[in-house]
Amino acid sequence: MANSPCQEIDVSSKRSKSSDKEVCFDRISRLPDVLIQHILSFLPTKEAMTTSILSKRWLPIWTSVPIIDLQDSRSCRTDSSLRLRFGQFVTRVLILNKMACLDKFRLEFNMVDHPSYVKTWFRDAVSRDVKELDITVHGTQSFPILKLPFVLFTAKTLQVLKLSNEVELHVPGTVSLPCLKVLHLVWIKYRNDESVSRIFADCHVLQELVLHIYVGDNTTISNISIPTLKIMSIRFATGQHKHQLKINAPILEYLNLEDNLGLEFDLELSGSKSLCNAKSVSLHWDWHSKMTWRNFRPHRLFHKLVRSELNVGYGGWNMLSLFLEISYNLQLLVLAKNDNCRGLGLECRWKPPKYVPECLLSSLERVDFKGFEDVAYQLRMVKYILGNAQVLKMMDIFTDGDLPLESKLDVLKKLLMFPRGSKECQLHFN
Amino acid sequence: MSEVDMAVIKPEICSQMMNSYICLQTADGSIQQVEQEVAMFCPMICHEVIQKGMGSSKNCAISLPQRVNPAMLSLILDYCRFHQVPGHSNKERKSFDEKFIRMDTKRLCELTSAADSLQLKPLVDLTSRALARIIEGKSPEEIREIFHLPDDLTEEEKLEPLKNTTDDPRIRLLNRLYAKKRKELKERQKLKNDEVEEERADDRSVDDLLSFINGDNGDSKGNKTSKSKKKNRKRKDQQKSTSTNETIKNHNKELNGLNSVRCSAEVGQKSWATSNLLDVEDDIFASKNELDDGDIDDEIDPALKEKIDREVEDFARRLNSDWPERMQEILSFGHEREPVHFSLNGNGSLRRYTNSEYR
Repeated sequence: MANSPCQEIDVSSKRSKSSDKEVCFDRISRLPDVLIQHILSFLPTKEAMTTSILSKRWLPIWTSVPIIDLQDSRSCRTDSSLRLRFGQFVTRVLILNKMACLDKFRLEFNMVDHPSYVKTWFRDAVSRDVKELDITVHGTQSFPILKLPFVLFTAKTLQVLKLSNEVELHVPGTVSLPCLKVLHLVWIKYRNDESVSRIFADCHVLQELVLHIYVGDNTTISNISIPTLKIMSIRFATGQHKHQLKINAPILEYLNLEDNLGLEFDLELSGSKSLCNAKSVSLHWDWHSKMTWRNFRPHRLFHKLVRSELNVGYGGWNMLSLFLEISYNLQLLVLAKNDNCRGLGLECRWKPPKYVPECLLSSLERVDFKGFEDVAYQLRMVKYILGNAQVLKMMDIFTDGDLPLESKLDVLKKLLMFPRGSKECQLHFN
Repeated sequence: MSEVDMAVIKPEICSQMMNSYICLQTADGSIQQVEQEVAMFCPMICHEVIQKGMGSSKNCAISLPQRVNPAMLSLILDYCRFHQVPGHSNKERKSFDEKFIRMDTKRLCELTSAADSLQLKPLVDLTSRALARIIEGKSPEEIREIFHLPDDLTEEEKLEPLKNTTDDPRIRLLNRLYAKKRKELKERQKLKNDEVEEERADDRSVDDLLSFINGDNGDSKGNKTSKSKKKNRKRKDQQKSTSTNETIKNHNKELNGLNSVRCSAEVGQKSWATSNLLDVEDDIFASKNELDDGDIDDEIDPALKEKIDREVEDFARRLNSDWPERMQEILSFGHEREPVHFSLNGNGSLRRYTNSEYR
């Protein structure tokens, strides 16, 4: 009958409605405490605290979450009484949190007018065997910088240390960070060069290093020798003309080097095995940066390189040929024109490699080209790659949004005309 | 046979069987057959198969923990089926997860529980994060409504922790009124014991009355000042407050007076509360100066709101009825409820007194 399906639908929807009403009981509170704490651990601590007034069951749960993640508000930047209150608040949270071991302690705040508070927090965190410490400090006029207590550098359980902004790194003579795996030092100040070298010397299991260096931070980092390092990302914003960097990281898998306005990059790879294991290399620099690689042995480097990103200005395109020649197993190539150089349309002389590189013949599957402009050398590059890459599956070309539509269509036509070495190759144009 | 032998033999036996399936039994008794690779993705099932050799046939089906019902089991198996395939890229896994997690909160809770009992940590993390996202940024009433949590904390218990603010001044005012009404109920209980009623001309100002009710022994801090601070925000609500203040005033005329011991106990509680570490005036958190007269800068349930509205109407009705009738009502009303007095223990925790203990 025609009516019965409709009736059935009505009945079932009614049934589900009534069952919704019937089964309106509290499921989440039936979860064991451990699970509720796990859920709350994904929330900032302020939000977790608000759950304590939900019901009796939830009253004490937030105090057993082993993560403290606190951030003050923007108005603290200008109001010292607010900063003081935030400082008192953090102290209270630390007192109320009853976990003997903290997994993570994250703070982002404007410097309070009583630095002794802050030092107390760190001492408490360290005494609670904290595993991850993430501190971002915004300095104020009266207290422009935070000096870390020395106790931090003998934290036996610390695995992740992230410091940002107005923090001063002053490393004492005795450093002992036996578990430190991840170190991020972003725009911080250093007491002296020794601080850096002491930390690097002591970290026996460091796997990830992120350094953002700027002018006036009181250090010139030129030697990074960490045998266990797997991930390294260094960003210079010093405006110096020449950087010298010596890297000794035999098992490095991921390298990212960024530089604003540097003109010359002197990269020395010491140790016979440096960068052999690198799986991904990413270079960002602009203008006429020229990179010289010392101790360069092409037949040894980049056997395992699978992903390469070149985000370069004008002087950097010659790296492309180099990379193509020495990375035998390259699968993904990302080319991008540095943001500072776009739209200027300057030419550069790009010479293709002498012999068709191995990776184009056998492994390169995907190429992304960001910031594509209709200039001769870029067209030549794309033509060369399209013509010679025999297993290429996809080439994605992104132009700047502000090109007029007709010129985009022109470029697209030109690109489509290029002969393709690979039959499966698809060309995407954005 | 050693465990290693078991591990080596069992898969062989399984593969010799028809389709290398593993039998799982849920708490309701039903048995499902699942492909081996999929089921072994769950550590608990993997353990059962390898360590105890279970699951190869219907007779020795692995009995799953009670928290795993058939619906949840099929969801979990869908998850396992996708993720145990090594070929998927990270992007694909992420988009699968995002689609997978779209379900109502009831099922999310059940799924978290089931995944936890099967020790499937990636799924526990996924569902926990989803639940955390649901909780984040919502007010306590909203959270209670979504998860059907009982609102079983008393106002005093809600006082203690630091709270999030919903800056609705009407809610704060209603909380204050509710607190006052609870005290009136206590007063009426006292009334039941006192036979003689005196109608006193009471021309104290409303503010004085309120502070007297709330046990102010020269220790009032925030009542007036807090009200003046928030004058601008409460213009609308002054009307409401004055009407209920009238009713409070009128009831005070009937009363004999307040028990001073009780007042001091309440003051003691408040001064403890104010010196409590949690008492902080912070634009991030609710202003705590208003703790004093039992003001609770707290959110209020819609249900509670209705309750208060009803009580307000009740008082208004009683005012308009005859005096003897009113007396009867009050006396009988006092019998129904046993208000509970709170006081301080030595270690600072609240202690409930029943009426008989109270001295």
